[in-house]
Amino acid sequence: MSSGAGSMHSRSRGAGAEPHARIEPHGLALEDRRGVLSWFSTVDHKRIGLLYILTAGIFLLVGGAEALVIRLQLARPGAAIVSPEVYNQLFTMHGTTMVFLVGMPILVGFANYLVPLMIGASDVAFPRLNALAWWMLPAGGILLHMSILLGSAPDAGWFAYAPLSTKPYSSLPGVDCWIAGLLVLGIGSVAAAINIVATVLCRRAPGMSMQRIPLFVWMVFITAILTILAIPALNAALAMLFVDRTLGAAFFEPARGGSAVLWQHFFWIFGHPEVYILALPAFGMISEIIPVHSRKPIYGYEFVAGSTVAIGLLSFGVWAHHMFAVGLGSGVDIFFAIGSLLIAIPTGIKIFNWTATMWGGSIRFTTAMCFAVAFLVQFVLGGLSGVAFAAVPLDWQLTDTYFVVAHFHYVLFGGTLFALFAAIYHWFPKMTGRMLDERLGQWHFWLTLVGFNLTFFVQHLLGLMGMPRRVYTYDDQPGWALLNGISSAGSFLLGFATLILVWNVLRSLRRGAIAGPNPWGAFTLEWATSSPPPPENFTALPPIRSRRPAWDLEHPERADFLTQRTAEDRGTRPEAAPVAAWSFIASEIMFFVLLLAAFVVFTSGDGGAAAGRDSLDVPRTVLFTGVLVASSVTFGFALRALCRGAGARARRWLLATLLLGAIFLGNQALEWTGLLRAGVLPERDLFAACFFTVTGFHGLHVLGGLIAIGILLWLARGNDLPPRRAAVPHAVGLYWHFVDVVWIVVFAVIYLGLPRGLG
Amino acid sequence: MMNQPFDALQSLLAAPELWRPGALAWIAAGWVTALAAIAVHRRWGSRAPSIGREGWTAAASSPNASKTGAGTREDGAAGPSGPASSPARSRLRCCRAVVAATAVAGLLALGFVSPVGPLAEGVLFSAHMLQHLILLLAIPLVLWTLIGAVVHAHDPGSPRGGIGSTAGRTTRFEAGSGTGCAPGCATARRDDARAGPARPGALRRTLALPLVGGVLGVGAMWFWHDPAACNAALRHGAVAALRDLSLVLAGLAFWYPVLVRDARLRLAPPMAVAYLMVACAGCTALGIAITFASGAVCPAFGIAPTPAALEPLRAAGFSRSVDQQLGGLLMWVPPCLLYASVSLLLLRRWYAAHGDARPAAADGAAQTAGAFGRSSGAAASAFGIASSEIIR
Repeated sequence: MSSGAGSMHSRSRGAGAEPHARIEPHGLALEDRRGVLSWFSTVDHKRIGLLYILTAGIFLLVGGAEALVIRLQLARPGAAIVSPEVYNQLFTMHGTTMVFLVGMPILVGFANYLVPLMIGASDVAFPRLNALAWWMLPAGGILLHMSILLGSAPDAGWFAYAPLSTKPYSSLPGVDCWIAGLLVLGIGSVAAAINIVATVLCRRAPGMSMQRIPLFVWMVFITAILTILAIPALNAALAMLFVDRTLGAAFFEPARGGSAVLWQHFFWIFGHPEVYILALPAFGMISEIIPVHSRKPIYGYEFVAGSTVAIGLLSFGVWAHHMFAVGLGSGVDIFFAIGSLLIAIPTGIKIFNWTATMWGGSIRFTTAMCFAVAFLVQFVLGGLSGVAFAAVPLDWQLTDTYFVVAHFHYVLFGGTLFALFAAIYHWFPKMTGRMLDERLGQWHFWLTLVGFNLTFFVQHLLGLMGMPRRVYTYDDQPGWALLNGISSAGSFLLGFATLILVWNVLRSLRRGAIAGPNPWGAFTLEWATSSPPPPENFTALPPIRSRRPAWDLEHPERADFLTQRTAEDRGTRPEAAPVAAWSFIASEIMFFVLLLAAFVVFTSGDGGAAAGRDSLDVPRTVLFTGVLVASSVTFGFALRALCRGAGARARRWLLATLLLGAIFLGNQALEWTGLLRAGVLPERDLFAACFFTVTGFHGLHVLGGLIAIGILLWLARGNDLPPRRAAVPHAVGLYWHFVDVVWIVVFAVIYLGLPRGLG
Repeated sequence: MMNQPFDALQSLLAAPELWRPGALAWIAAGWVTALAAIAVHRRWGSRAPSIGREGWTAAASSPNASKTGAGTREDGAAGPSGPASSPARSRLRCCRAVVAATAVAGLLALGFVSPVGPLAEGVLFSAHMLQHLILLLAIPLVLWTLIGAVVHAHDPGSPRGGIGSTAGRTTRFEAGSGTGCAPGCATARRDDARAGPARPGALRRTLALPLVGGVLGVGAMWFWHDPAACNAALRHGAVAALRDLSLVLAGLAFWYPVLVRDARLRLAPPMAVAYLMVACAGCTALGIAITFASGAVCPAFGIAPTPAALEPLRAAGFSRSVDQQLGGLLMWVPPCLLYASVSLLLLRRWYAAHGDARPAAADGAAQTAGAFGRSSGAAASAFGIASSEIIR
């Protein structure tokens, strides 16, 4: 029954695919190897997706155990189960783990597994990059946890507010490990996101127009864009904090002219979109699960998709609502409050759509559906307490109390994690070919539901009573002991319920009922292939003529396309390499803009930091700026020669580009040594710190570009590029021109001091 | 105490010396002239093709234009969209023109007749910023949407690019190309897509480049907030007039790629959303710079004497730095909200466009276009499925 895919397909993949049926456009042969070792070398998106989910699951148990120790400590007033120092490390590691090692990877894992299947592709656009992105996850996790061996886990909270996270206040290596781990994880997340964007844009099957992709794919796509734009803000902040801690700069040390509030700005420019990075894929899962188990199409596909875009746009404009208590001024507070209130509108639209989907449906209360319905209720509660926080006076009253803890756990646990549980029950049959046990599933659901609400609902009350978060114990105020006791008891119920899930998964892997290709009667393409899918995903694709191709296939007499028209596929797909290059460039623009913004902040105002500009040699830099610009021109000539098939000439121009770039880098190295000899060090003043950080990162990018050009030269060694690499020179060219443009901006801002007068 | 700022604002708005009836007369005169021009155009205008219509008219007469007859327009205005010379169409156009002229007059009155006008001249930075928003965003948007270049979801011809052409080079399944030569050189296809009857002129094609509109629209904002430019505009009336004119023109250029009527020039909705997002980033950066700047962005605003009517507001805490903060936020939040709203509208049209996305040669689209041409947007069609397609 599990191999029933072959009989279901009616159309082959497209002309010209037959002779190379098992060789993919990216040139990797599809693998069907077995054994543990094959998982280490895999580039199959399904296996990588499972690896993501498995890794995140392990970290979920770690982070959950940390939470249980926290709750044990807080079960009664004045307990001394852990010391205050360990308590700080516990909540820092719990937050960091749950956001970066559980939430993001498990969602990326599901996206990895499902997106190619849902759009009818055989793999993601860049399978090797995909594997690299996954490998960054355990690497980052190990870096983060290595701190425990080095004496102290990070203990400055998951948002590591400066100046607490700077050297004078956190001298142990915990924060350094935190920075390194998060940088690695962040780069991995951006790589995965670029891959998802390229996959959705470039690898859709014929017929799968952008207006027909499943909502999960759409939301993952928007999430990937958010990731690409938000993570660099964190990376910029981390880089600056790292320079502070290791090179003695003072970006975030107010005592030496730095700005602690700047850290908060940078962190929350990342941090608020991050909330949606964690929530939107969950919305996507709910948008797939509720229709299938209500046996109705989603109500208002366009509204759910469009409101996602609105959320994405708005999410970048509301970060300062995390900073109402900082004192930004009432004008700023009001605008950010309005923006935050506005986000409730697109989110509310989604809630209504999901509810309307269930209305009049023939609902099956499977475990997946139960979790989805609980998601709806709990997410509304978390959303409402969030809207309440947009009111500045209420925020001032409740910030840093347990009300905040209750709010974001209702969003991230009651919302995201419940959606993830629903997704596990829904897609486990597809991933393994076996059903999860429903009876155990119901136990898991009800215990989780009761445990979750016991744990976190009472925290609203504790917050309103004024119990501060992040303090290792509390006074025996009236009612606090009882409510904290309830919360702790609930948390252990939650822990027990999660163990039921683990047991259910392990048991069902061996003894679960055989699922068949489409056990739920679901609608999207992944259900039109066997469970688990073959390495190439589809032996033959069904025709895609609506948003529910699997439904159309199984119910030809009531097929969607007979009654509802959706935009036809124009059959055009962009090349993956330039899409990836543009996505990467967008990410890098964010990174450099934030670094330069820090420079402008520090050099404007009282003007103390601007004095350092005198030590720079502007005329010489003009000359070498010209060299770098010339290298862009030579690259253009190389591309033109490649287009005309003049391979030898192209290689000569590429070589010239390489040389010009190397000359520029050499000059940068000379300038650096000159400055360092003259005593201009990052720790001297903020100008020097900014100068070395910005030009250093730009130099690294030039170096990366040179390596890419070198690889291009090597690829073109036969005087011609292999056809499937034809888009690569163009992508490298985009990156190289970008590096040049960045330099021109860096030159204008740092050497010439533009824009003038913002001071 | 609670109402102090609001009382202060009230007294400010009630101050007679801050209103300019003279300017109102000018605007009224302009409005009457515009209406007269419309009347003249309506009486005699249908004989000669009006400026900027050639592309649309020519496209409408192309073979696959039959589709548009069945389709309702998605821009909210009812009425058939036949050839430009039909009486119904002419009446509609005229009605729109009246609305547009009135809206522009009202916006100008808000910006220059109400206290915003006098206060923008060297007193309040935020009032000056409000003027910018009116000139750069509101007036061009009204002009384009109501008279110049209304978006038609069912316009003949496919929108250029599409989400597929992010980087300008695409792979087509049918042709199986895109892997032959280095794809960086395959630029001919894009021109093919745009080629057709009455290829738009060079100026229109240049204006339709997103880079041009984006740089002009965002650049105008940045340029006029360079301290030197900002101060010069406050000191010399001519520079101020130049600034106001340039803002309107830049605004027109900014909206052109999104709203141009000719579908061959218009950005595909997903690309237009990306375009607006980048513009939002541009004004966000400027907004942040102004909001959190420690000194005065436009020092000339400190020179003019404070009018007496402003004193209560100043006393209520509306200092120069708060004023500048408000100005920065005005530059930042309202434009982005406007871009987000337009993005949603564009996405709605994108989803509502059914058959037209196919290349012109496709025949299947034309056959079924009639059945669903009447879809009045996302909600109705979604409700249709929901009510008719419940399983079991």
